[in-house]
Amino acid sequence: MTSDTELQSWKQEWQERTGPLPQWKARIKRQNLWMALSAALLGVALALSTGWALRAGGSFADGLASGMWLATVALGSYGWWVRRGAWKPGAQTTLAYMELAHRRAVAKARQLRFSSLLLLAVMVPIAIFLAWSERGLGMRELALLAACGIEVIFFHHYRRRKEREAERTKQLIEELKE
Amino acid sequence: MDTMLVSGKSGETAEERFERVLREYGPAWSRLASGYEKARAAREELVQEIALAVWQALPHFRGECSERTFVYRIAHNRGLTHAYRRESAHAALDELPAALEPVDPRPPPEEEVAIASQRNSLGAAVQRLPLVYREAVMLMLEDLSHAEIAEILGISESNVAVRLNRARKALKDALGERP
Repeated sequence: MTSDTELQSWKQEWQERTGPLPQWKARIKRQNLWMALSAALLGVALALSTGWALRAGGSFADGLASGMWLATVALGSYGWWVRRGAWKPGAQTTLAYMELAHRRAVAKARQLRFSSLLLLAVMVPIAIFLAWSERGLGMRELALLAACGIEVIFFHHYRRRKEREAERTKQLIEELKE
Repeated sequence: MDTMLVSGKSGETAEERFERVLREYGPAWSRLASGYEKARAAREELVQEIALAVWQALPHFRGECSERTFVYRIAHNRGLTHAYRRESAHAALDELPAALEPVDPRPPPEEEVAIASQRNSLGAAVQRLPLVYREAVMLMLEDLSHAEIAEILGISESNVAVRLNRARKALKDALGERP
């Protein structure tokens, strides 16, 4: 078999392989729904905590509402700042897309580290304060602290994954530059 | 859904344009996806991701290159992103402590038969190529010219030729064993 006929037979064999075409409309709807749900969930959490603080008052409700607003603003601002330069590729090339993927993985890892540190910086002093105060740690406070602890562990694992992703993309960028 | 007129073929709405692109290139997306992902469910998910990326990018296409190159570039970049994520995830699995690893990692006998019959196919040989060769060879098998592949990958045509040469040799070696 000559080189050309071999290539032609490969092309023919390759192009005979096809899979089902995508149900793209369902996918777009699902993605839009997911984004709307995430935004709605954040909005409801902020509205509920603010409403509770305004109606019931008290140090716990006030602290929770302020903490949620502070965390949303701080995480949103840091996320926006850390992702600068990672919104779109510098060029329409594989290398540029890979560099973009690397920047995004690094940015996400930093954002997760910041989120963990922020949570710890807020929760540790509150836990110490409550533990030493006359009121002590009730079930509600313990549940909130446990939830934050689980979140910190989740952030830690997710960050490790993103760091590995950043490492792998860096290797691939080097391979592509060869 | 946005149905405004866009700069595709005259009179096409965004949706009509995408439907046409899907008809023309959908089968190629599924083949490209098969080069990056072996598992059927994940492969179908990847084709969906490619379709979504093309749908989002098409309104921004200003004709700097051919529509074919534009569409293949998006599909290829999506596939590549999927591949490195998958490999990162596999690297994470490799770090599992020995106690958590399965005792017998071999597939069941009936699956082994199916795997053996596919092992010698062109698709399987392509999947086994290193990423840098795989990406070029898949575009070549889709009948794209060296110039188009160079444009999609962002490398020179001579570099494309070198990669394809090595990839073809590796493919030939892999396929040499089949009947």
